[in-house]
Amino acid sequence: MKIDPRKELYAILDVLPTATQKEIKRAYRRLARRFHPDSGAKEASIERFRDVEEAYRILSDEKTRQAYDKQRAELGIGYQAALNWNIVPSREKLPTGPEEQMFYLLVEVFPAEGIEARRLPLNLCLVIDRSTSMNGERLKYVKTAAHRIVDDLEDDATLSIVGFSDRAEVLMPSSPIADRTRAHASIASMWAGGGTEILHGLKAGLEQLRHRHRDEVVSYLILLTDGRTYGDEEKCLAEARRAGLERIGISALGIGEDWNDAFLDDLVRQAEGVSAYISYPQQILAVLRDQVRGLGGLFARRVQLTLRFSEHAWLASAFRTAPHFEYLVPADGVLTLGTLHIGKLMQVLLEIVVSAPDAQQGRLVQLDLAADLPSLGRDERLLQDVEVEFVADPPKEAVPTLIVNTLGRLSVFRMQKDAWQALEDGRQDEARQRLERVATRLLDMGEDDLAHRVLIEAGRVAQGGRASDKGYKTIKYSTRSLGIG
Amino acid sequence: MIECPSCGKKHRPGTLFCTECGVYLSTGGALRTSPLATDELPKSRGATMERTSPEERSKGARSLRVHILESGRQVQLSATSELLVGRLDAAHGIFPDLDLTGDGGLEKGVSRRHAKIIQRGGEFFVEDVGSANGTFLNDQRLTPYLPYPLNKSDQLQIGRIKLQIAWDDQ
Repeated sequence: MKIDPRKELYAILDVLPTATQKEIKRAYRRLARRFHPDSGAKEASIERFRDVEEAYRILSDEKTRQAYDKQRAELGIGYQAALNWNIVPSREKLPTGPEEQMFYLLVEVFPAEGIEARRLPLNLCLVIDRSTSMNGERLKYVKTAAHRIVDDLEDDATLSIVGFSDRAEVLMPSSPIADRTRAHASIASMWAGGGTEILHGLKAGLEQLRHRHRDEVVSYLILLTDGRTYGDEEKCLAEARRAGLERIGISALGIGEDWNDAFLDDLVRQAEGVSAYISYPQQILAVLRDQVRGLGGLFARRVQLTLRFSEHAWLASAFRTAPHFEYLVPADGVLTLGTLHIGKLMQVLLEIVVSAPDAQQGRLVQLDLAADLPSLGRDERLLQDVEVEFVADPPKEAVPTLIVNTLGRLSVFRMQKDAWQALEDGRQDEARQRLERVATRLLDMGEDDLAHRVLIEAGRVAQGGRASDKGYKTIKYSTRSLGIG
Repeated sequence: MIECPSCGKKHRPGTLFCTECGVYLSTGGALRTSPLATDELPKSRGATMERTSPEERSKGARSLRVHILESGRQVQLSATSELLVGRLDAAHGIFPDLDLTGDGGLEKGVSRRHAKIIQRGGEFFVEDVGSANGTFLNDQRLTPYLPYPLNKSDQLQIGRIKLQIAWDDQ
């Protein structure tokens, strides 16, 4: 078959270059009916009909389609997908019957090979808690870290610095980092005193970021705090939500044991950021640097996965398993996955319940991934049907190692979460038992230090009915990272 | 429903990990490989270290095709210098390249870390890594932790599971 790579076959069929065979077939049927010379329709045209026929002939056969795509790519006119994914089902075949079955789907999303994404200029705001409790070591190390960040920033970055206690001051209004002396001076001028009201700092910081926020820059607010904010949580979350919609990110570093982890986790989730736990002031520099470095390599933001289930299947639970473990709660069938960085991988694990009394073969779920790629200035979409075969007596299949490995580590994270829930509900005995099981699993995995930590907290729960804040935060934020690597 | 062997919680079929205690349900997690009755196993005739002729050896890392005779399953293993054969136990961090769990591995005496297939200098070797029920090459029980050269027509036996291994010449 002769293939002319200059012909816009996808456009003729009115489908995306990433279209599935099913979509191509559907488009062909629709257009063939419309343009068929005998259709009697006003648009009937033998030329258009022939074009549609030819496009379908080439694109409906994966071999000729690939040849066409390849020739176009060589001419530099091909569509190059910027995102790629890898969809791994736990089984290919499921038994027929009314009994509900558990089925797992692992989805990995990563930048496509050969895509050159440029680093975007960073528009950064450091919002620093300078309440009385920060006095001494903590503020000292925060200042040292901030000085280093100023030196590290690329020359095209802009920086603003906000200090807050029960009120906020803009220590340095948003300005190009070229003026490093001014940044250093404003960091040095910070002193500790007053209460902690995050809302003031958050608002002042976001306002600075908005001055310089554009589509082609990465705007992020990094909040460093060691305390709880009282009474303004709801307003903070509303601010974060608004920032998220404007594509301004918020990350938070909690220092010490007194900050409210549930609140900060919630805050950063609204605006595609990450929260981190810093148990010793000496760690501030490393964690902050790591965060800032990651921001420049932003590849995709607002990554969202829409799930369209068939009547045979429904979602039991969903997790993001990389960069770190996180429960995902679908809103109208959409999972919000956050950001993807250059050279990194995003991983989602879906637990799906399947019940197929009479099905033969079919689609369990359609995965529809959408993302905003700021460094390429475009949106991207990936679409895939996940199908399984239903048979009376399916053969035993080996579950892919990747799924077993991920699930095994994830189960530890889930178990610790259940343990804290039991403790919160006043079921101390159950909490202790659950913590001991977490410790057993951790020992099996070779995570001896963390296992030891968990056992200490289990002992505390057994004796005094509660765990230490430090132990709780260490366990929570460490098990969250078990999946990495 | 299936029941967790460790804590008794019931789960839907197909569930891989117990949400209560984290046990891997496909193998029952901490379950050990139990020694098989000795009369079920071929007699050990002591290990030999016969070398293959140079013609039979080939070069470069190649992928292996494994035919599991018990289940009829055929597996293609990627070309790496060392492949672990055994039973998957995620909780203990054991992820064999060739996982025999689905081929009746537990009942047939396969250890979690059972044997290794090694590629070195274009030749294949098999080494038992201290399995409970032994590795057999053409009905000879191998001395653990000693590599034995593997030829194409050889029959390899892991516990009581027989494998046929093949590879392409280059």
